[in-house]
Amino acid sequence: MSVFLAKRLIIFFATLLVASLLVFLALEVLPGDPAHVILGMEAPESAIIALRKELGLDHPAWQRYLVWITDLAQGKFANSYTYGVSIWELVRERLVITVPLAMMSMVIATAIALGLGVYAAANHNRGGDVGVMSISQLGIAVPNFWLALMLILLFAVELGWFKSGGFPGWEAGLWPAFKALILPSIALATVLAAILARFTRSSVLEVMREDFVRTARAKGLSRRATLWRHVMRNALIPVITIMGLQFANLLAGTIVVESVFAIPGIGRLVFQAIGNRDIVVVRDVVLLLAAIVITVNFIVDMLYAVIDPRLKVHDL
Amino acid sequence: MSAANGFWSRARRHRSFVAGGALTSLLIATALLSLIWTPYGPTKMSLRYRLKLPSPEHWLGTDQYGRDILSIIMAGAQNSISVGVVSVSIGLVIGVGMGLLAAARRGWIEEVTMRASDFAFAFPAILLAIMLVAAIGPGSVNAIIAIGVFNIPIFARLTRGAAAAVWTREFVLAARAAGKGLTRISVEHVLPNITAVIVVQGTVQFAIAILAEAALSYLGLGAQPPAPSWGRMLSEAQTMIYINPMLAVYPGIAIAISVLGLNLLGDGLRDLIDPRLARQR
Amino acid sequence: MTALLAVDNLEVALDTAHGPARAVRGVSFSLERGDTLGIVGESGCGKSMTALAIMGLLPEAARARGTVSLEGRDLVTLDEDALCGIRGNRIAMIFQEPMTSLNPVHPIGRQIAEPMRLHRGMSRAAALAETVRLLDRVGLPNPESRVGNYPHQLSGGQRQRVMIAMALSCTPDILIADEPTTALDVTIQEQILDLIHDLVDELGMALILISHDLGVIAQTVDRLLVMYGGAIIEQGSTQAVFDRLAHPYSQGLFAAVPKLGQGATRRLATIPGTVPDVSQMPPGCAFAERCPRVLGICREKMPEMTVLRPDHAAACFALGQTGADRR
Repeated sequence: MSVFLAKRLIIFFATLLVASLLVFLALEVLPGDPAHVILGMEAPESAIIALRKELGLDHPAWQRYLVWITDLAQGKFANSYTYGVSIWELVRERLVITVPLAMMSMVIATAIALGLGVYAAANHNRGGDVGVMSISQLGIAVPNFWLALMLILLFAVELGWFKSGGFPGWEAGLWPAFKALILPSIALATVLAAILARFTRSSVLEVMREDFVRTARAKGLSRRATLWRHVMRNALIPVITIMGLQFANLLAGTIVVESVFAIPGIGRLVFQAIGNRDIVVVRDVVLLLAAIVITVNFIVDMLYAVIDPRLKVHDL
Repeated sequence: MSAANGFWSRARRHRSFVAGGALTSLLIATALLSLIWTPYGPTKMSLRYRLKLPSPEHWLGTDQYGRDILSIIMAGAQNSISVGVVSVSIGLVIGVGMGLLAAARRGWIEEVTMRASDFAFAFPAILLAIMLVAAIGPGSVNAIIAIGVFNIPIFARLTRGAAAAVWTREFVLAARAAGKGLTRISVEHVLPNITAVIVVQGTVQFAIAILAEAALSYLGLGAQPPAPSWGRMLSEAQTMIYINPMLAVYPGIAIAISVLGLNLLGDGLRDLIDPRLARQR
Repeated sequence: MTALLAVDNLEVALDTAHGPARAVRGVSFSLERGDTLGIVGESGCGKSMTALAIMGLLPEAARARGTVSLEGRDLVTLDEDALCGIRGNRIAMIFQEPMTSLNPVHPIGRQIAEPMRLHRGMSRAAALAETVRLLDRVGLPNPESRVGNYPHQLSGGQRQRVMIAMALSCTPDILIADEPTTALDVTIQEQILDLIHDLVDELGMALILISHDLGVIAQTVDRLLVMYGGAIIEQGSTQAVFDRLAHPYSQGLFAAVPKLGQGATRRLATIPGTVPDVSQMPPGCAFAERCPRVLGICREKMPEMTVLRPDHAAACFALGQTGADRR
């Protein structure tokens, strides 16, 4: 088991490293001089040169990369040019918004998806199944930012139950803060729920075809008991994997959804930084998002091993 | 020919395929039609007819600049389709090439390709697209490039998996024993057998590309004004949401219908191509 | 006196793309406590379907007609809840693939205890104790340490023993074993068959053993049914049937088995042709196309069961003819 863990940890760090390399390289591809981009084309030559020196642009790429990585590892973050504060400051105050948002979405999506998926599988090829499949097709087809707009339209503009955007901050109280996150998390959760529901359904159907399900019925277990005691745990294994993969899409979705609701989270920060050409912020925050995704996938892997006893014994 | 006939007769009866085909055809037909005719010029502004409700002159009404909504929607179809087709094609051509190479050569080429595409999977695709567009600047062409790039690992992985399975089959072994080169085998034997899977994935990726383009356009990183784009329509409509909420509804429906159509088409194709998979649906 | 199990004119129809297919046609037999009955036939002859019909575990697309009565109670028309009470409790079944018939994420102890806790309401501790005893009885060494094992930690033979323990945990009246040894190594097959035989004797159960392997049937059961194309074509005591195989199919089946001392020069005998498609059964005898003794009437009418001797009957129009007679 510890060999399994060690292997996984190594892969984890390696992936993080590769991610950092990719992010760094992607921004190296930038045509034009970053200093020019930041200061504008009319800036005086001396300012450009000074900025270049400060950004370390006179050093070769690999050196800059190493400096960046080692700095990060020590927790030193550069300052953002647009906001003038340490990136860590920026990130921190936004993480406390985006992380709860993402988690709420995951919870909502999972609850809906598992319920619908199992219901559809239990009613295979009958009305309930067709209904769930149709709704989920819609859920996938609808762009999440449009859904967000529709939610605002219905619940904020028409019904007035919610505000149409913004986040009051956690200091305003737990309930007002959560209330502001409800519509956005529904918008984010919908696509994920649709995908997970379909996947849960097919996973359950597949497991129901297994021989051990026949054995369970032959022992006298009812269809329902067989479903919950024998099928679910086996069916959930691939579903959890998918959840991990989809978390990445969820995070990416925050970029758009936070913009729709004007919520000052990480997603919105990325978008604004891109608009402001604040390369440093973009670089660090994107790496942060990637790191979150990689960590979540790592956790999912570990979870996998806990749920499936076959993995405890063998090394993967 | 009888195999093809069998396919079409089954296809006609398959609900998803028919529905998806109908919607996709609607999308394509709208785009083609808009090339030669739209009720009004999609970029034609008019101060007099701003924010009109649907009427016989303007079936869907007008936006805050007086532009006819139906015309923009129709013209927007062009944008969505062209971005979708070109970006998926880029990803497909390069990705399939890489996948075939990886499956044929095995060894470290395969390892590297697969690790790289596995990794690209873990990385949020939209994020990559946004970053790329941010790096190279906004615009339709760059959006196409960005979306195309994130399609590459998807097709590479799919191709390599499918191709690897074909490489183990007897007729390929026979071809190798006969001395045929890797390239010839890949093209003549492997490719025809994996085409179906690639086509199915292509329709799915097309749908994803439309969504991605819409998201990019919404953020202002896609088609730039005045070129019509559904995503940008949505961001412009957002400012009007208290005044004329319907402005936001139409483009979303257009996107949803297109994506739905393509997804249904892809599902239908998948069922028709491999009936074994159909039983699981 | 009501028989323990009385199957009367059982019919199972499957929905296929080409219309309904009769997978089981007019199967009738009865079983008393202590009886051992074998069902022999090729794949697709309906033997497994018969067993599933008795258990009420037919697939969605299949429908059963006729009567299957357990001590007078008809199972075909019984509601699902009542059937659940009978399965694993009064009638138990073990299947062919021990590798996949156990849930991979539950320990085997839990899986064996499950029917006991379900049907007898036993507490976890009591069920555990009984599980250990059962594992010991089926010949699994170190049963106390095994209860926590997962299926993948056991070999095929061991898993089949676990299946047997599971099936017998509530001391059912009838055990149905569907090809229990087919997926096992030859060396293990013997052990498993012996185990089944001993346990059936010891617990006074009735046994229905399904197999395509004549050797397995011959050494384990007292009576047998030979099935082809969904119908019983020959039946009787094992001794009587093997003594003088009457139906041309049975004869062909027996001739096809390689025998020691046959010599390497003789070709293996086979029955020409293949089993007909269940959804497109010809009228008349299902074996007609492949039969060396086929007569005109065979293609038109289904032959009735003709009693040859007190414990031997066969359904054939060409009985009493030798293989040399051709139509």
